[in-house]
Amino acid sequence: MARDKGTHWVITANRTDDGAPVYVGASDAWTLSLAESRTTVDDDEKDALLAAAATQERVVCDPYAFRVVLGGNGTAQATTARERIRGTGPTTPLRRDDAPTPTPS
Amino acid sequence: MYNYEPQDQRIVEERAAQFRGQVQRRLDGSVIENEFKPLRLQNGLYMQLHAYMLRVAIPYGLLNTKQVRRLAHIARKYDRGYAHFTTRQNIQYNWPQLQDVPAILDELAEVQMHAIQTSGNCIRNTTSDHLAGVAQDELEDPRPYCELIRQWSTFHPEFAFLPRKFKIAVTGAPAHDRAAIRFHDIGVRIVDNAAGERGFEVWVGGGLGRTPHIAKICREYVAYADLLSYLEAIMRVYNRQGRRDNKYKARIKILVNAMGIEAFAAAVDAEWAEIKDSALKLERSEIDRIRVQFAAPEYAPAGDDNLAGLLLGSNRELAHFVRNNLRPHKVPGYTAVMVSLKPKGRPPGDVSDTQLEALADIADTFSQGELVVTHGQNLVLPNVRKQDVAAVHAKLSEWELGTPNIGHLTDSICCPGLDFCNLANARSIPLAMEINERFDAIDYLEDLGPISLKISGCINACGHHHVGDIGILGIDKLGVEAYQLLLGGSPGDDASIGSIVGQAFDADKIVDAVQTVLDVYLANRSSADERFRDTYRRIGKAPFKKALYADH
Amino acid sequence: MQIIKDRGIVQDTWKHVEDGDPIPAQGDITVSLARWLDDKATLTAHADLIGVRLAPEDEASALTGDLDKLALVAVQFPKFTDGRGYTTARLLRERMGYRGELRAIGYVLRDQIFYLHRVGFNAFELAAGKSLTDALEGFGDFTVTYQGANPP
Repeated sequence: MARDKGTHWVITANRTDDGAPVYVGASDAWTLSLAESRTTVDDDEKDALLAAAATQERVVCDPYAFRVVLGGNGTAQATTARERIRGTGPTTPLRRDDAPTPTPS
Repeated sequence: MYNYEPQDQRIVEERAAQFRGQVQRRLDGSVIENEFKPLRLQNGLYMQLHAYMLRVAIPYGLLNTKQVRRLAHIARKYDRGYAHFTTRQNIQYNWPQLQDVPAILDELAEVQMHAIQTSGNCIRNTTSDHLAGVAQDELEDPRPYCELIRQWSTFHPEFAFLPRKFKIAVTGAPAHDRAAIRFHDIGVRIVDNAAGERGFEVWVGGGLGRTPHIAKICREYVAYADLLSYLEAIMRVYNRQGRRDNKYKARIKILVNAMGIEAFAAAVDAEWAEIKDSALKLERSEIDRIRVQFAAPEYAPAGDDNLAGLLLGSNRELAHFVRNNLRPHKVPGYTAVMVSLKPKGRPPGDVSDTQLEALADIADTFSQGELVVTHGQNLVLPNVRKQDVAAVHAKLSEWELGTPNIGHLTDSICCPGLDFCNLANARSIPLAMEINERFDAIDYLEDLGPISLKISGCINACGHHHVGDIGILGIDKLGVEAYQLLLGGSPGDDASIGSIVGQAFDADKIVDAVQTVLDVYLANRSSADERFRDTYRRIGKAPFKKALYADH
Repeated sequence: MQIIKDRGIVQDTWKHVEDGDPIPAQGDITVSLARWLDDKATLTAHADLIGVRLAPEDEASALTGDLDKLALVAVQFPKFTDGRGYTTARLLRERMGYRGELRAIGYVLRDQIFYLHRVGFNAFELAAGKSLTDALEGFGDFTVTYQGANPP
């Protein structure tokens, strides 16, 4: 596991239905956006959120906590390549754009 | 290829139904995720960085066009319109939804396909030579034995919870192993023994990953009839004695090393003696039943080919394609055409649904309706008349499938890496793409000659970085991606494990490092014909190290 | 407690006696392999039926010559991912000819029932909280197999 240099905890998991990375957000609802995640410096609060997440298996799988730093506007920012990519998606092209179907020569 | 009998068909259908039930119970809570995880893994369903990933089995890499079209349809209907071919001849979808997977398995079952045991601590897909059945240097077609192993290992009730995953590979070309058998848990070579009897030489304990090992010969000769009982004996010893205390020490290679090959082979022999004459003994009729399904197709007479002319012709792309992408075929007038999935600007090994449809059409027209996946993440049209090569090239080129770089630097093996994989430490695909971008001049690539570049995003080595001429291993340096460079690996008969040259390179320096390696090779090779591997073995690591770390 | 035996739900009549605990005067009991090897004479004299529990690391061959004295062999699966017990069961049935009750205990789930049955288990103590009726469905997961018929 990467050693991150963060200052605040965020709880994350993968959505059971489609595997999308989600984060515990305001009022404990899950959000797809790391920037909207709820951050805490309190270890007990982190543990409580993690425990709560573990009871929601219909919604999420394998919750864990990781550390972030707060950006200029106070929102969470990843400190590792892994969580950055996890938050923003693959950095590579996915399906090639097809040219119009070629006519047989 | 093997056509399912009713019992084969029923097995895959019942498996799909079983998984449908398991998904329902996961969603209604009667099965917790920790209980569900091994079940979904045994159906090839991973949880990755952004989504689930479904790995569909392609036994020994062989596909018919009906299957290819179904794979295209699945990409379109259930995924994002594309798929990825793996280093074990399988195919992966990166974006399936959990509740669609049972339907995907049903649709696969309709075309005699499945995702059985493509993950989990069980016996995985048995892989083979991508030129099986057509290679000129083949002693005997290994595919019937791969199919026998597949059936024996599928839902084997005793070996569903092994200490760790288990991978078997078979080659029928003892003089030129294209299946990397020396780097598998069990590797099988078809051989003629000293008495001239045909059978199997069985190797054990090879592997890559954290601790690469070259396999050792467990038994020099196993008769046809004894293949499955001998493999079963190995599995039983491993199941009982493989380590279960540490995930990173649980592969059979660790056990073989700890016991020593003599003691290990003796333990296998002791077990084998008990079961050699059991129901596992292969009757001639059973072997023939399978063999006949791989009988050579009707080869229409091939006219004169004009390959020599094409090499000199005005279509330079075609000339390079003829030079680099064809492989010798046992039938005169025929050739095996390698289809590169490593074009510039695309992730290596990826293919879109429309490309798959085009490949099916091309295979139907020009290659007897079959396609083979290579463990190098490319494809083969195995039965093409030489006189059709120009037409095939033209069709492939319409779909970005005609890149003439097979066996050259830009034909790299590359794992999904940190863009996709939960296990990764660094990204691998952008690196492969950058290298393709930088080194795309075909004349330069041909001058470099055969070079294998293999890129892994983590120590698990799915990109085979230990066995490349040039290997790259992505690491995590305090949350930042960095890359180690290895040189001198080889997966074949001259098996060797690559050596790390020195300190890791930053992401913005690794491609320059590759350039430096190539420069050292070019400067030191004894002639234009001395390939990279031979130069490295002759001059050693030192000149490369010196050039790479000159400033340090 | 209820268990599955011979594809039906039955009341369990056995007590698993832990090492160090006294052997009750009556009732069908199992003991650990270590205790069995240590104390065969006393245990064989037990008024009711005796059985042995095999841990994953215990070898089936340790019971060579004793199987006719045992009415039950229980094989433990502390983690359902530890597959050593599957080999143990096959060896007991196919190599050593054991015909008594062969029971899977520990973290036993409905989804392992089919394979467990195939290697020779005919009785199952399910993991806590798991439905036995549900588990019975597991026997029907497949109607055909590649590796020959079920053991008797």
